[in-house]
Amino acid sequence: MLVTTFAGLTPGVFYGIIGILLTLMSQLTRTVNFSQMAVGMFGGYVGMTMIQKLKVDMWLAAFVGLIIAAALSGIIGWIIATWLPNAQIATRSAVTVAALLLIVSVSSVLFGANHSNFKPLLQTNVAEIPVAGVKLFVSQNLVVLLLFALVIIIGSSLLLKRTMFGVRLRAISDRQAAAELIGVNVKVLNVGVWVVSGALISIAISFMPNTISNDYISFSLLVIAGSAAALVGSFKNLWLALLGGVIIGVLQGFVASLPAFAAYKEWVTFILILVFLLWNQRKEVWDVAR
Amino acid sequence: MRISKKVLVVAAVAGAAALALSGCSGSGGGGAATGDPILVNSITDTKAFPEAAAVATAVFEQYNAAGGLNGRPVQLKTIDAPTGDAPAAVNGAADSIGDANVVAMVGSSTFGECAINHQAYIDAGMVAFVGVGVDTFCFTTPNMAAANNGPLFDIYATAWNAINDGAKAPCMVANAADPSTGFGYTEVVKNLEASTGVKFAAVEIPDANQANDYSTNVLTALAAGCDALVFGGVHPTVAAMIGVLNTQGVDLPVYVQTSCYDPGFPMEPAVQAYPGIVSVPAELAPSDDPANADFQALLDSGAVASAETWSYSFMQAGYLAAQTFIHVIESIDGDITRESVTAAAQSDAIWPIENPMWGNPWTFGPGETHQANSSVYRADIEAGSGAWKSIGPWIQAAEMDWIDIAATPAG
Repeated sequence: MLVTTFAGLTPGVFYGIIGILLTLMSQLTRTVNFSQMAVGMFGGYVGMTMIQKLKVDMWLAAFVGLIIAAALSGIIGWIIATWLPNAQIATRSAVTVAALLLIVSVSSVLFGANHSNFKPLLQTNVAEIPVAGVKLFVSQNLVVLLLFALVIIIGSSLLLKRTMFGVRLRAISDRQAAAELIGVNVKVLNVGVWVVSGALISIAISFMPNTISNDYISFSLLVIAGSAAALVGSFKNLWLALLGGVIIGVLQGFVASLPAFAAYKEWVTFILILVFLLWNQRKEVWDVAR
Repeated sequence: MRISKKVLVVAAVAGAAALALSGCSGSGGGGAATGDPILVNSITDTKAFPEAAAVATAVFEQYNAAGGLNGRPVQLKTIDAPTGDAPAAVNGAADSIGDANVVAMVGSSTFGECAINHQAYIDAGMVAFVGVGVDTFCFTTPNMAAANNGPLFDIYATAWNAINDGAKAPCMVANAADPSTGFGYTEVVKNLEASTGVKFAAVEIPDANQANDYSTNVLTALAAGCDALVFGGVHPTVAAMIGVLNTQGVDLPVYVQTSCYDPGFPMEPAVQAYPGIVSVPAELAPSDDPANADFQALLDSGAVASAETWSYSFMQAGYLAAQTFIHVIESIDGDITRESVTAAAQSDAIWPIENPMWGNPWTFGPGETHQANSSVYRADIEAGSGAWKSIGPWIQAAEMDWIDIAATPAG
């Protein structure tokens, strides 16, 4: 029980990173980016193809994968910024669902059915902690992903709150028309956010341990667990998004260790989503909530 | 942004051309045989198992080019039935059965089509020469016989190898693609424990989950104190299971199913990083075996537009399914009809068929069940080698005390 629960930490932190990026994208571009994982996955496949077919160094392949993911994300952002600049958040988010499906389909055609799982940039353990007769392994992946999550949270907070560039970024989200009137290039900044988002998820994927299959659909849909994590922070609080991801990962590990409930491990995410939606609506009267 | 009409026209023409070309590329037939075609269909998940139907089509094209059956070409139509799309499988079978000119199913390869359609084929008196059969009904239906050996025999042989190597407390983590396979795995464990006297330390048979994540099953099994690990599942899933072992500092021997026997599996990052041995019971002759000469010549001729990611054994299965069908129609004296094909396939007279790509004589015949392919050939990956090494020899079902699993509660 302890081992599986502890092992849930690594995917949990990863869900947290997805949640953090979804929160940032929601705040800065008014979009729930369902293609978040898919763009990173596509970059990952390009990188793996380079490693296996062209025998290039894995760090170079990871860098190229990052560029591809960033570019792909930028293209989606450019499409939304060009044709749906003033659309509702639901409409803008729907575009990302279409992008998700397109990327899954194209990946399936390009990379085939029997593709290789991703190669993590690091995959050794840094510590063995003996607890209650079992060994808990702390991997480089866990450490790096956790540090990466902290860097994104602290870095983005400093950028948005302490710099003029951050003010402009917030302006394009809060008062787009006003920002345009004072000369802020809304479209370029918008696309820039998408590019950075694609690059960041690509980095996170590069440090994921290869303990789950990167099947096109299931891997892309890890964004659902990330969405649940973002929901814990109400798509506003980055720290709570990280915490939400960790809670999901650890709970999934714990539930999986209980034989009677192991089959329902996947339900953790949806139960969490349901609980937080109900919690957010707790003070609404029926007419308003409806 | 405006898009000019010229661009639109060019895009439309290019799209239409692409569609036309892709349509052309799927058609079979042609060549020296010009008589009335003998029609066969294949219901295939073209994403998960693109290999068998494509190779079977190439076999028939080669056969037709050489004159076919007395000038009659064999034409195979592939009907796509993606995993999870049961209506596509049902409609595919209904269309095939509804067309009286379709004499049999050849090379079908899916996760669950046998379970869905087996009764329809029985009722219609139609036989299926399955390419890659996964669910139990591909092996427990009188009208069906598969070129591959299927996941039940396969997991049995996989675990048998572990026990034969000296494992006293093996653990099994096997992802079951469908309920009948899950039930079959449980029966396999019971039979194996009875025949070998070895008790499994842990048996985890999880259904497919949305995230394709079986890491907690592997961790749970490890906690039971295994001395060997038997992993069931397709290539990426099993590679991920080995990835979990890497995170736990494990170097126990690992035994995987034949669905992992492709050149890409030893190159998987997790497998390359694994410090222990990884072993497979290949269901057909290993790729470096001369038994594959004719099959390899077909591939080398460029007749099959295969991708590098295609499974070698699944391509072999398509080749053998087509060859088996040709064997049947060549044995028929009269007209080639659904009835005559079914009668010939289910008779004793024309079996077994010998092909060295199988490790045993292959029989369709009148049996209620068909574990027609019932032998395996061992291959190993030595730690970090990045390649399969053929070990052999062929091991027969009887040597492993295999018992056919006929009864299934689901379906």
